[in-house]
Amino acid sequence: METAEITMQKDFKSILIDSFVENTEFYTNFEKKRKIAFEDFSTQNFPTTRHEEWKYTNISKLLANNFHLPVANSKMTLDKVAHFFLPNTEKTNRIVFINGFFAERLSDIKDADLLIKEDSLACFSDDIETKKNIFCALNIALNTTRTTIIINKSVRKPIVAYFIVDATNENIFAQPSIIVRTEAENAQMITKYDTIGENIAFTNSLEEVILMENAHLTQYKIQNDAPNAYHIYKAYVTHEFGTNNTYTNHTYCLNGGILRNYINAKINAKGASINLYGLSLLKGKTHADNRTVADHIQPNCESNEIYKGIYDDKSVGVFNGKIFVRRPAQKTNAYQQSRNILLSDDAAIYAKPQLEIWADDVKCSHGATTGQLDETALFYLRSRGIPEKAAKALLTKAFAGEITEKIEVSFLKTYLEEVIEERMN
Amino acid sequence: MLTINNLEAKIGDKEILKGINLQVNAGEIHAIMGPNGAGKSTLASVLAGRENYEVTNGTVDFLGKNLLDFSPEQRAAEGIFLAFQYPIEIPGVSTINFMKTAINEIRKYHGIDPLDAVKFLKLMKEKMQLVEISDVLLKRSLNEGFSGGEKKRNEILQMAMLEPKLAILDETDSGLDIDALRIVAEGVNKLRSAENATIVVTHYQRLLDYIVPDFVHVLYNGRIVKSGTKELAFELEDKGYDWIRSEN
Repeated sequence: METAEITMQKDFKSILIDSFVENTEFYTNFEKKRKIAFEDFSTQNFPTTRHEEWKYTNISKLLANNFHLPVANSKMTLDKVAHFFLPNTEKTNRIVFINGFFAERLSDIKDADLLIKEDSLACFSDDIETKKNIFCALNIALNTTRTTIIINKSVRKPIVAYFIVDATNENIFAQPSIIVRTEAENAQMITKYDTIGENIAFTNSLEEVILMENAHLTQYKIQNDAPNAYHIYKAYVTHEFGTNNTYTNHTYCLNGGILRNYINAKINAKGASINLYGLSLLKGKTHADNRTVADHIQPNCESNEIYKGIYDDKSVGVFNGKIFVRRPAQKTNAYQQSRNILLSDDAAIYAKPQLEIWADDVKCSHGATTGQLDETALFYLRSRGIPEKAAKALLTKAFAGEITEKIEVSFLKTYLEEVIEERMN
Repeated sequence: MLTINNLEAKIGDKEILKGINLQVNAGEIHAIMGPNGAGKSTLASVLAGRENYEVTNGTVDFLGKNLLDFSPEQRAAEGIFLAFQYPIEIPGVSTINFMKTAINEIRKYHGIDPLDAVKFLKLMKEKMQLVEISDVLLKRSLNEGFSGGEKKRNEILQMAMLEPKLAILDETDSGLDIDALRIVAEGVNKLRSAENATIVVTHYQRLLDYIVPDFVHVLYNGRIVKSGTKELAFELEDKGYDWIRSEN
């Protein structure tokens, strides 16, 4: 059985290798990086559960499928995707991607200084771990363009990016390749992932976020997708092109097949800080694997991290939070918390905080808890006449509320609160 | 109103209540006193329906219904209220939201339409004055970071909101200074009527200076070993629980 799987896995890999097309005409920096990434991809194998970082997330079944590698699709129409749009977002900037490609016709940019370019000029930095992450290498190698989102200072309205995969006719392997550069003092960017059709939608996203001087960016990731949606997401964040910049991320894992999110934030500027918030609210067989790296490189910086999860049915959560404090990063404040509730005997959570500290004058704390809903709290609510189910819903909502209350975009907060409310009933 | 007949209960393998008999009528206040470990809090919890206790024998009749058949939420809807010795802190749920949910769930149980926000807040304001509690506190997470006195006042506020037929106050005086004790007791006294009854569970006689009982029962080793009027409480205060121990 295992041998069979490996053979099929090689099939997908060889399809990917065969699809690599070199641009022999212009050997630009972009091409050079693609070529290196292709070599990195070719020399690595797809991870199995024997790989430490993939111990709890098994993708061998997923990789045993055949996938169509899409090209930019110009046929998609607004009426087929509009129902994925968040309510009350008429006044926001809308960016739509279909099968990983920027779809200008379906987008609606309100701020003139929000620039979106799709070209083969912008390169990912060398921070991207192509040597040890096969999916990073694959994304860079096979994509012949990148989408750059430039948020200039005057951009005021929230940005909502929809990543839609059309798996109506066949299994799709989509690879969004995004570079976000922001100068805005308070930019709010939401990304939402959705799938059309019943075939497998496998998305391998790569994103690099560059914060300029005094830039503050909050990104919200909404994974409330179909059970046939598989998503491997990687984001690299850098502060080094400015000072006093803040990156905040919210990750909401609500529905999907396998969701794997990796955020690597380099806190490498004076006055830089990051906040990483996560909420997984899972049911069915959804598997959400959240990995974060808070990499303290400069002194006097701060990172805050809270990931919470509520797991029902046969859902599985994985949390791995790494904090690195490099030797020069004295006076670092780094906090991390992972708190989990299991609502069913068949649900599982694997939480692992990892701290590596080389500096000696730092404040770091971490904690991971897993449990059921508090029995005494439940009895207290019931003793006041609140039925068990409603009492559980109230406690669960309160648990999730610690994350959702931090949302600064009102339409998003309303949407998520409704999703949570609906889930509880 | 409440008739407890030969009630026995255990937690795990430990028998705690070993045959309780008690009759409480509308309009009455009963005090249940006793040394630590006698089973006072267990009795209060069993009446409220706490599931970690197993009732092994006996009956509890409440207004003609078998109370032991009911879940905690049904008991609350039928008119039982337990003021907790240690009120639970619930982060993320405000007292206001909590009370609104509770009141409307109980109304639903009785087939009555829910209270709208305006009527609810009006009721809340009225009851708040009874226990001198501020609305700032009530907008915060339930009991989170409240002082001991604030928690107990919040219990009495909940009691005032839910208007139970039978209120059970479990060690309501514990951890209260004299001022808080006075406010809490006044609240309880104002809520008293000919239609409802109160069981005051306490270790000390002190609370009974403020909430004057009609009857006093002494609980010892899982049984009521002595019953009398309020004078019994003074006698207990005077002689101490050793008096009970030596007699049993």
